[in-house]
Amino acid sequence: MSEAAAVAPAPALTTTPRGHAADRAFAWSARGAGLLVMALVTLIGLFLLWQAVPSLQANEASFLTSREWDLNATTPRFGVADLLWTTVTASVWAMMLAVPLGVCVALFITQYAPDWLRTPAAALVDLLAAVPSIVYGLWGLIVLRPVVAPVETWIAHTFGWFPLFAPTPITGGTIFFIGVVLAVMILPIVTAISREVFAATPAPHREAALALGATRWEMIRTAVLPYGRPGVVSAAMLALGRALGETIAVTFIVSTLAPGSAFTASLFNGGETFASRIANNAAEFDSPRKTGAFIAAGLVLFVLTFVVNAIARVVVDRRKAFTE
Amino acid sequence: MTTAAQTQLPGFHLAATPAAPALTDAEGTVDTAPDLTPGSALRRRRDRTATIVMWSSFALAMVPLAWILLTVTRNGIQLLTASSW
Repeated sequence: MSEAAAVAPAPALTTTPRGHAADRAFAWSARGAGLLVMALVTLIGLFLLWQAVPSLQANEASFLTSREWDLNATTPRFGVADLLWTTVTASVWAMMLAVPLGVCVALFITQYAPDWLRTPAAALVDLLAAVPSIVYGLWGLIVLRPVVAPVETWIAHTFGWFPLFAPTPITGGTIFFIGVVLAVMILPIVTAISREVFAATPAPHREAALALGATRWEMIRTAVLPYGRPGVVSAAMLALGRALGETIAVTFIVSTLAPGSAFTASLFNGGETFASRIANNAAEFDSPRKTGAFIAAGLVLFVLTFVVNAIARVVVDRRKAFTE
Repeated sequence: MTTAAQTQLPGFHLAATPAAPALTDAEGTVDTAPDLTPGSALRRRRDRTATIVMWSSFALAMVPLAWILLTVTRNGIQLLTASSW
């Protein structure tokens, strides 16, 4: 290596002290940003817990299984069973409507639409996400409700023997109807994320399927869908998270049940979600103990959303091993 | 590049590959034309159904958007244009 001395040292490979400092600063700021996010989430959780615990200790009913909600008595009795039921059923129903439709729309945009339609179609679906949720609430209550009501009546009339479709006297916002409105609201989320993953399907996968004589649908089933599955799962879970926490549209629409009314498993019943119960009763936050009861409900919603996202993470990570 | 060199490349057994057996039909005549007939009726029907489903799901997704835009515009425009402020 006698020649090496003659060759000038490559400047790009040596780090100047200044470059080194910039590297370190960037590493620290990236680390700091990550830690800050984690700290914020932890602090929110701790805050909710800290505010909720005194009320939970004063609570005379079982918090998770009771259907009561009486904060004004000397011994408050409150439980979130009803809220949990309404929130989860409405959101899952919304997901059942929106995920298949959203996946089909994403497939349409990436695989079927002619080139000139692709970009406008994607933009139009994204536009659904730009509609404010209060507009969804107004539109749902005033315009969509009269259209869906006869459908509900028909289902309740025809399939009423099934507990989920049992007829109820509720004529306003039912869980069923909330699910329909929520489905429209989460459709753009499902579509946008599914579209991204479908568009990322490696061209050789698709071309190989077509070259082997697959029809377009067979190509989608054998190449596009398996590749996009983790993305679709995370899209569904993100959408579920949005549906669980949606507040103002639900508060507008849903028919609040009278306290003490009997529980039915019917989708045609009214009810309140966590978010709508809290929003409806904002005027009651006048004592720490009452506020704490609502914060406890919020804590359950927080944990619920957190768990849904964690499950999505696990599913996505596990499926990834098979698709890549 | 000689043919011999090519056959020596690992993974390329060009010379060793037997010629594809000629496709013959019932009469024994050699059929050299590739089979480019479309798939079976069932497969074609499935493909067509999928196409229809995709197009109609997009149309269905556009319904609420158009509906909301129409409602908001129709109910809002006269208030915006007729107001005295």
